[in-house]
Amino acid sequence: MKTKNIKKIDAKNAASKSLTESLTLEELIKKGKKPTSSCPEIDTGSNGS
Amino acid sequence: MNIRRYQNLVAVKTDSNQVWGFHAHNLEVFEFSQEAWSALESELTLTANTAVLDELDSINHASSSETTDATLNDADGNFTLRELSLNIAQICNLKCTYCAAGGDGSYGSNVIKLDLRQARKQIQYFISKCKASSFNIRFLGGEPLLYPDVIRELCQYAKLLTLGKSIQITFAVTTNGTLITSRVADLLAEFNFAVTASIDGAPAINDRSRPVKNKSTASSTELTLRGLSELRRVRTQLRALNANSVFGSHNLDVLETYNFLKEVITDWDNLNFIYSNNDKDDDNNAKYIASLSKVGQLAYRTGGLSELIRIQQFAVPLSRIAAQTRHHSYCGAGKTLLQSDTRGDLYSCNWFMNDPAETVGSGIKVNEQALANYQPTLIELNNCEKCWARHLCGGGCMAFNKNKTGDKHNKDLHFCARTRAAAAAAISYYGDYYKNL
Repeated sequence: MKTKNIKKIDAKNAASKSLTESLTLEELIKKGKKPTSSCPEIDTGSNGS
Repeated sequence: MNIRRYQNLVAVKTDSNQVWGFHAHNLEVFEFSQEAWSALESELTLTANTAVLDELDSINHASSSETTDATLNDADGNFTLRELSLNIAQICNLKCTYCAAGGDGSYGSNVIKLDLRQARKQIQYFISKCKASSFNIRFLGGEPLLYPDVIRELCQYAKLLTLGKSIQITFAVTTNGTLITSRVADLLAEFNFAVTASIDGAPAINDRSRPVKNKSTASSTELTLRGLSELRRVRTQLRALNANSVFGSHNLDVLETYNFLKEVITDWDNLNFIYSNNDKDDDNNAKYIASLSKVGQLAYRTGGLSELIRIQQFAVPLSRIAAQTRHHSYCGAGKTLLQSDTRGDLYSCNWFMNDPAETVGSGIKVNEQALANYQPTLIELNNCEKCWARHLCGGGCMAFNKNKTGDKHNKDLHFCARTRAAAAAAISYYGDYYKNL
């Protein structure tokens, strides 16, 4: 959506301009999709690693 | 940072007066005008007669085809155990001032060493039942590396069980790092461990909060740094190298700890700045939030998102926003994760060990009726449906809830405040980064 007062942040489009940024976003997305199975309080990195 | 809310919409105003919008259901981030901020004048109310009402209402009610839901279920729609956490030792060589494991790593039990026969049975049984493509075995304590030979034996056994099968077996350990000799580091490397080392900061802090029991040895910081040095030697053979640091009345300077840890090791996979479950003070909670916020600012300024995602508190909301994936449970306790104590008694969560009310079985006998109580999502169980950060958090931690309120499903509001502060910061960094890329 592009309106006068509200503009959606399009990360994919922004990151597509650079390979490094695309990879960072890809890593973020991979982590974000993975459900946290372990205990985040003791298992650092359980969100995706 | 100021926050305003209208139904699905959240507006975050930064110190530099930039306003970021966030859709709590679709997990989308927007840049808002100052007029939009003004329209969201009061909690849950839009100011009437403004030009931006229609715009805000239209995104408030919009649905997104790109947003998905994270699920802990297997292909058949059922929960499947993917991780068994084994307490190797219910004893520790340190005596941390904030220890949540009974004050001495024992969880109140006098059985200090894991029952090996029982553990082998559990590993065999739960791997045979696992329908997922991977199964993780986590070794906990007390201090698990008091018994490295037990760990070796169990790793070898689990590897043998999965030889030629399609299931991938992984290993993880949470340790104070003081007992990592060259031999132990080789063991962790051999089995491609994810290692999480607990260290609170520089010696002045860490030696005070994490003292050694045996005063004739070197200090805990010195020993842990020696251990980390061994891990650096085998770094490429480790699945991950992470740090856990605990904050509370003993230390509220997250920024100083962050700077210290970065000096010790430059390529941590993940830094987890945990708040002590035993600290119930309002002011301390606010100080922790303020200091963590400074860590976020420094990390973002020096390394952008790729540095921020090494810090657990920001990595979790950032990654869920980027993936536009709604999470419904904070962890897999009782769903995909079971904890076994040294006796072989089973619990949904390691923080519930030795609490008879929370036992869900023993050995390989799982009490399905007890386990059924854990099957709804944590957002449902903990009544988080109205929180704007619910899908970035997943419903909060039952152990924190229980310790603070006496009821595992009654929210610990300090935990909620910390989570929302980190989520709001993540929204602003995400917006700023991708707007200016």
